[in-house]
Amino acid sequence: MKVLSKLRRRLRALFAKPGLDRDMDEEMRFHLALEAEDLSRAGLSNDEAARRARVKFGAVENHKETARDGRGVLALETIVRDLSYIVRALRRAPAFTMAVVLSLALGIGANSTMFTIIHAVLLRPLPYANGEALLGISGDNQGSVSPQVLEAHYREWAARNHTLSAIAIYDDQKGTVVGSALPEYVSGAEAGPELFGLVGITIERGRLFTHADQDSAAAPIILLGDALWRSHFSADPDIVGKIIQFNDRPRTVVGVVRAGSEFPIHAQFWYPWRRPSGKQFFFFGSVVALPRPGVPLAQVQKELVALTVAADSALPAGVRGSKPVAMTLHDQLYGSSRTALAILFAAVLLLMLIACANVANLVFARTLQRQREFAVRMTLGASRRTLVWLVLAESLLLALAGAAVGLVLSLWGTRVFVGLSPASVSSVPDIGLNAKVFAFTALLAVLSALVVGVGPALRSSRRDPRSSLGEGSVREGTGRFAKRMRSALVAAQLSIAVVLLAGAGLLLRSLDRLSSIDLGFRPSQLLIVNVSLPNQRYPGRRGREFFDQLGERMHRTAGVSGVAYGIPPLLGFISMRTLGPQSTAPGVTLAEGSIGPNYFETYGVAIREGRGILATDDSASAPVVVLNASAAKVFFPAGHAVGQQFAEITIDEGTQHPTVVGVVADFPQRDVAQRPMPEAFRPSAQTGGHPYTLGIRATGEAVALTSIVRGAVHDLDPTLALGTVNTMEKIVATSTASTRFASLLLGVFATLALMLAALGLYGVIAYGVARRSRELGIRAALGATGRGLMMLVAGEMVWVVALGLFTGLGGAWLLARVMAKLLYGTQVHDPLTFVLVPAALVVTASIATIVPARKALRVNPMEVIQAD
Amino acid sequence: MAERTDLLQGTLDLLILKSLIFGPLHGWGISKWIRQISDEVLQINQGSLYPALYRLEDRDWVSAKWGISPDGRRAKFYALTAEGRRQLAAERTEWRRFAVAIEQVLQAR
Repeated sequence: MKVLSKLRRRLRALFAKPGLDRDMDEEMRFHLALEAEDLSRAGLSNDEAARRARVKFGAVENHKETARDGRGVLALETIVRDLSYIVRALRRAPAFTMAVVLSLALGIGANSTMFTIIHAVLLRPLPYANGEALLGISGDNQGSVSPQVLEAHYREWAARNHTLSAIAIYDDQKGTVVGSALPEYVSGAEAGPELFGLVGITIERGRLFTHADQDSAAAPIILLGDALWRSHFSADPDIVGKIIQFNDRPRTVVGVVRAGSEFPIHAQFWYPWRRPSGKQFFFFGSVVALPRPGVPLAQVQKELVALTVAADSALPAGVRGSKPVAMTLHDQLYGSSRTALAILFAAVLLLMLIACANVANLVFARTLQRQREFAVRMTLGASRRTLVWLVLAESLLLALAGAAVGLVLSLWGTRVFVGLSPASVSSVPDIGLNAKVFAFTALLAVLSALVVGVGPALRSSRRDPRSSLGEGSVREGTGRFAKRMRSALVAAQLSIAVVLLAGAGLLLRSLDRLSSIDLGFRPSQLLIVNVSLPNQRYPGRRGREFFDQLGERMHRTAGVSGVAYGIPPLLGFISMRTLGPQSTAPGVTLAEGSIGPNYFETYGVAIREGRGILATDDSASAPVVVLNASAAKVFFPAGHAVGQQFAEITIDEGTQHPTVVGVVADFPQRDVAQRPMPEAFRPSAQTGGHPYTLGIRATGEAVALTSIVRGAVHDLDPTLALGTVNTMEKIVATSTASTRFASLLLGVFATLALMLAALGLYGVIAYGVARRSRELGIRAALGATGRGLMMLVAGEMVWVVALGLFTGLGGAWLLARVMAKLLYGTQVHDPLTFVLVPAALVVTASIATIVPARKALRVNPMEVIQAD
Repeated sequence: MAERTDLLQGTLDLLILKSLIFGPLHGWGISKWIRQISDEVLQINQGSLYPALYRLEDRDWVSAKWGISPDGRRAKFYALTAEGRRQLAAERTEWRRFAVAIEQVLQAR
């Protein structure tokens, strides 16, 4: 606290100076008066006493100044004076100031943006109770890992584990809530009551639900989120105990969940995980768990695998074989973005280094220019410390200005970034400026000020004033050291640019591959509409009738050429089963789709053999199935699938043996980058399927149909909420979003890096030409050719560029390995990238060299020789 | 008036701290006390007294406070802080060592 009291006194000394000076005046006057009285007591006349006292005291003003020093005013006053001196000096060099502040602002802004994102997504602990200790248990189905596991497995783990202190199951759900506002389709969860304590869901009124509420005989209940309670139930204080319509079924509200304690993210309702007896192996859910203190992840994993194997023996063959994968919940939620974000962060840090190198060069050049000024100051008695402080303070001031501008840039950059980013990043709540981001930015500013300023600062004070004051001293900084420094900086900049360019190149190649994939369907001019039909009011057949009516209405609309219900490509499938071995072949994982008539025609999927699903394929006619090419190849390797019976399809009513009536082209079920799975398509009318998605093919802009669909749904049933409406093109884009996102950003960073490096190179050559103008003039006068002069100036740069290029390629080679996970259909060491990148660098470096070097040609021998 | 003796550098702080050991004094009081105790030998130049006082205040060895002098006038009083007390002890030891050392040198034959 002593430091604080001292600082307070210093600040007071500076800002309350008039007051303190009055204090001091009064104190001095008092002293003089006493002194005079003392003297007059000794027998002197009053006047004489006062005079003697003053003489004794000496020059009052002088004492006051010395006294101020003692009071510690000087240090702060000096700082303020120096700062105003620096500001004045910078105002006289606006070009320099702008260049430095903007370079640093770009670098710092990019870094702050990336840090904001990385902090929110990767560094910040999850906002749940037990946040970082929570585990998510994913299921590995023959290499495809998803956060969904069988309920049967979960029950086994929950009952028999010894490594976990808690475990809970839940499933993301969506549902239509009717309150005082319009019906709305909201996200929530079906959850076991164990979830609440495990992740810290708390209530602000009412109660949480318990095991008793899970009983299938218990009254249906629901918990509402605070936001939903406010927006759709006007924050009704008596909500608890009221019955609301949820998915058209009455549910009693038992409580309201406190805002901020929601899990999963954005959930606004919770209802109990049902526990029907038997058949539970058909249900999938997400599982979170908390290991006992001190139990490592690997041990949990081992136990869960063992328990799963044991549980599998009691399950039907079709659902066995999934392997649990325990990971931190953080990894499960955000692990997929880690590599991309880490690479982008590394990229902006490298960008920052390049920017710093340029700024260091500028500051260095400026320091050399000011050598004479420093020498004068030194001669006038400025200490070495003062000069070092002046140069450092200037860097610091510039860096702080850069950071301030950069922070503003990053506010904007973060918004753009989040807007572009795939859902795994953009769904994270509260991405934005906070104390940590602020501290990071400040730290970056101070570090860059040191990086940029320390060299020039030390150099500025090392000079012997006499040499700088002498004649011709403007050509300072011609030393071997300075030249090597500059060349090394440029080489480093070039190599960083090469690394970033190569990374961007690889990603762009991947993106190119991804966008040129034959999707197997035509995504253009397709509108995908979700309508959530409440089970109660629209049981199987009624639901299909609703979709038929909606489809018919839409079909009659101008600008619509086809309509079909069923899960669209890329949005998944109804179910997935592992079929037992076909004779000797190993088990096959088969996706099952349940679709309406004209599905393939509407989505533009090529029918290879036979026919698609027709309106006549209903519950009264013979069961049929359409296979995709992969399924046909697996189940009928000899060909001629059409007309054959397809074995073993289990539906609610029992086992059917449908006849294959057609084979269609493969299209991806989930992700553009994943190979399509074998899939069997059945007519919903025969499987009792419950459709909820309508695909509409437009003859013009698909989006234009949105309001028409909305109107049609409202006409058919005003209580229905229209769910998400999307164009298929957007869905395809979402599927390639992470690659597009990473390649776009890395592309921007790489281009910036190349430009900055080129600027650095340009600066060095231009400086060299200016510095050697006299020598060049003499050479020209002695008959050197223009070409010869250019070679002289640019020649030494060949080595710098070559050095930068080769170290850069080495770095790129290493980076490519780290990036392997992000690439699609592109070799890690893609030849095209590794040829084009050096070419781009050489071209850019040549331009950056030749343009300033040409100035050497324009040197007028007479002028420069006479100049000195 | 007795002949003026220049103070050795650094001893002024020691004298000021010592003068305050009996209680708070104002600036003039300090210089007068030192002058009287030293039989007018040690004359504190006021030009160095106040800077020294402010310096000591800055180091938290003395604290300053406006008060009323015995004859009813407003004056700034300086008092020894706990830290000042410790400092006085330290400087005093240092001074003794110094004086002994000087004496030894002078007595050398």
